[in-house]
Amino acid sequence: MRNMKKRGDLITISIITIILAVVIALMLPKVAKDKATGVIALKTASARDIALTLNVMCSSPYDVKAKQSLRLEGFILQISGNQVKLHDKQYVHVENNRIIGKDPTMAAYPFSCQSRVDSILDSPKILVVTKKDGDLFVTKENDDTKA
Amino acid sequence: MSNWIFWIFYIIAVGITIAVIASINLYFINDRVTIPKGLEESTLISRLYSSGECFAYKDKAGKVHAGTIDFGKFTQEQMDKCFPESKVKYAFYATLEVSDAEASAKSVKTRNWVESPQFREDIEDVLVLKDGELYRAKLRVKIKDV
Repeated sequence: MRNMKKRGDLITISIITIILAVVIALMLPKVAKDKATGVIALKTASARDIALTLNVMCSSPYDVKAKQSLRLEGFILQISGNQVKLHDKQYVHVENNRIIGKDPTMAAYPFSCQSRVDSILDSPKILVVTKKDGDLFVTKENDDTKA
Repeated sequence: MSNWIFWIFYIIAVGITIAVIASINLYFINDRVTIPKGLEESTLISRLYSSGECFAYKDKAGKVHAGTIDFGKFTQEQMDKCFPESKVKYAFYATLEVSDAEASAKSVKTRNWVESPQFREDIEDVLVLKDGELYRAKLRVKIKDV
């Protein structure tokens, strides 16, 4: 009778462990996919890419213009204080060239540039970075206003 | 009672296993989305000798000679302009060693540089313009994570 109870306990533990292992095994690829391709990863990677582009452009000895293809529909790109910030439009909006609201998952990455760069771009698809006479301008395609 | 103790240990063991698997997973994912360290460093260092706003020689016509450092511009004041205060995660300490000129090595550093024995070093061969003459030189850049 006692042996049967022990066997029953072991079966219960085994079933619980197998269920846990299956749940984890099924969840891990999803978590990995969310982390690697999800909104937060996209924002983080894009902020870093843009910061790297700005660092390279600042180092250029010549006047230069570069275009960077981005898929940032649904985001607001803010470049200020030597930082690239990406806000989700679900949480913030632009009013009088100012960001209103707060994105709790805002991605930010620093860069270093001699020129002061200030820019707020709504849903940029193609980023245009121009260096002219030592000054850096960041605009989006079909928007040639000074940043 | 003994059953309770067993279940507590069981849950702890399963919890630790999940945490370890999740950490390994996160480590590999972070590795995939991080800019390679050397790439970011090299783009920042290259401006020292290629940007007219840093130490690169700029002639009267306004043309910047990348790879040629203007000896007169190699000052701490210029370094502060070249690397203004920012949250960039690197600090640099650059030393210019001119081989032929009668000048001792000059050093400049970023504002966030703190002396400590741990650093990486990058050495670049550059030309230096001093008193109208060109000299061969080495630009030694110490790099530190901040």
